[in-house]
Order: sequence, then C-alpha cells, then structure tokens
Amino acid sequence: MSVLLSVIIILVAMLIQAFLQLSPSAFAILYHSAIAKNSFKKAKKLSIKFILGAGFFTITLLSIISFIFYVISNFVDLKSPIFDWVLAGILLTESILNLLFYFKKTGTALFISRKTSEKFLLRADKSKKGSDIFRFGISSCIPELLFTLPLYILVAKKIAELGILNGCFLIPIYLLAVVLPLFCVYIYFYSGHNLAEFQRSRTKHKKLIRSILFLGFLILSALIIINLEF
Amino acid sequence: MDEKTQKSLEKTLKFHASGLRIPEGAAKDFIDCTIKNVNKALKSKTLITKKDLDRIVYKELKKYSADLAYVYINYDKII
Repeated sequence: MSVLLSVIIILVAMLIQAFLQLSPSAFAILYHSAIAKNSFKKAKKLSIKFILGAGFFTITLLSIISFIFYVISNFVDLKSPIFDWVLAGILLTESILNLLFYFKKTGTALFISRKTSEKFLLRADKSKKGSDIFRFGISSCIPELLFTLPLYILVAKKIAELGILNGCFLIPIYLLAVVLPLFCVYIYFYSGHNLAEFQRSRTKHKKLIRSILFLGFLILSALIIINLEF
Repeated sequence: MDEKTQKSLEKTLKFHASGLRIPEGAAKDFIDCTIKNVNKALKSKTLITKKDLDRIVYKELKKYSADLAYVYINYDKII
C-alpha cells in the first residue's frame, strides 16, 4: 500500500509539474522568435535544444537530490514523520500561493518580476546558437524552483525510499512531466498554429490551469499525510 | 510619431509578422497602412504615452490582422 501511495504521489507531482507555465511560455516565445529570424527548419532544430536544456536541468537536479537522500538514508530514517509534515505544510502553502500569486491579473503573466520576464523576452530574441538556447532552456526552469523544488524534494525522497534501482526508472519517467508539455507546444507550432492562437488558448484556460495547480498541491499534501498512516 | 519611434514600431511589427508567418508582402501592406493611420490619429495629440501609442497601434492593426495585433499588444504578458 505504501509503495502504491508513493507511486501515486510521484504521479500527482508529475501532473503539477506538467501544468506549470514558465517553460512552455518561454519555449513559445523562443519558437516565435526563431521562426521570425530563421527558416522554419532551423527554428525546429533550435527549439529542440531548448527542450534538451529543460530536460537536462530536471534530470540533473532530481538525480542530485535523490542521491543526497540516498546517502542521508544511511544515517537517518527517511520515514520520519517530521519531515513529511513539514513537506505537507510547504505544499499546502504552495497551493495557496499558487491560487493567489501564480498568474498576475493581466493576460497569463506569471509571478516573476517584470525585469526577469523582460530578460526572458530579450534572451529569446538574442539567442542564435544552439548552446545559447540550451542554456535558455536550463534558465527557464530556475525562477519556477519556488514551486518545483518541493516537488523535486518529495519525488527524490520517494525514489530514495523505493530504492536506487527503481530510481533509475522513475527519474526518466518524471522527466516526461517536464519534456512532454514542451513537445506538445512544439507539435502545436509545427502543425501550423502560431503564437497568437497559443496565447489565446492559454488565456482562455487560465482559470482551469490555476485550479489544477491549486488542487494538485492540495491533494499532494493530503497524500503525504495519508502516507504517514501506512 | 517621430522617425525613431516609427522605425522601431516597423521593426517590431515586421518581427512579429515574420514569427506569425504572415507573407512578407501582406505584412508590409498591413504595417504601412497601420503606421499611416496611427500618424493620422496622433496628429491632434501633443503628448502621448507608450501605452496610449500601443492602444492606438492595436486598434489600427486589428483592422488588418487580428493575430498580429494580438501578439503586438500581449507579447510582454505571455511570460
């Protein structure tokens, strides 16, 4: 039962990660800029580098945190309730923060400062080489660590509890939560849609995205508490 | 509109039109007509803020291309 709950917790964390908006919106802006300045074929090639960057960041961070938990597990009992209660509290706070602050009032502008978002727009405009775009993919994940770091810590803890062999499968599976939304945006643009249509659909579903994120964090914190009982 | 602002506006609109894959010729026509209309609308005004200018450009651009106008006005609200 505990193993099943751990897997469910990881899946819910993946769902939340998939609905976070910073990387997909940065990717959409980049794709738009890439098409404006290059041929369609080159834009496709460059945008793959962004996805690789975001994936690299996720897999690296998750692996490092999982390894740290694995080492700690030799000295401390990972199933200690205090840590789980703290994590549940953090996720509950995140759910409220998400409801109040994730999206700003105008459009789908996110919680990051205007200066940071202007830097992102400038970077999307100025990035020409594949290496720039790869680094842009990495840096698009960093501001959102406020919301994703508790998820990584939680998933890493569960992976350490389930064993390092299971971790070799679970970490790439978790990577799908980051990479799949970017691929969906890629396919959306590849199939002929443009930034205006993409942005209109995001604005239309803003409330739904916010609700899913709020409920996701709430359910996750509830699952951690339920897991304590088993 | 002064020359510098006009050139900057043209460059921005060309960039977005290219990103939206609007054919070059059509985009040039939209942009030229929009700038002409915006200049007409600004004739009576002595002082204008960037937001006012954006609003006027959006209003004129919408007549030719809804997508281009939408991206122009919402570009900084995507992230």
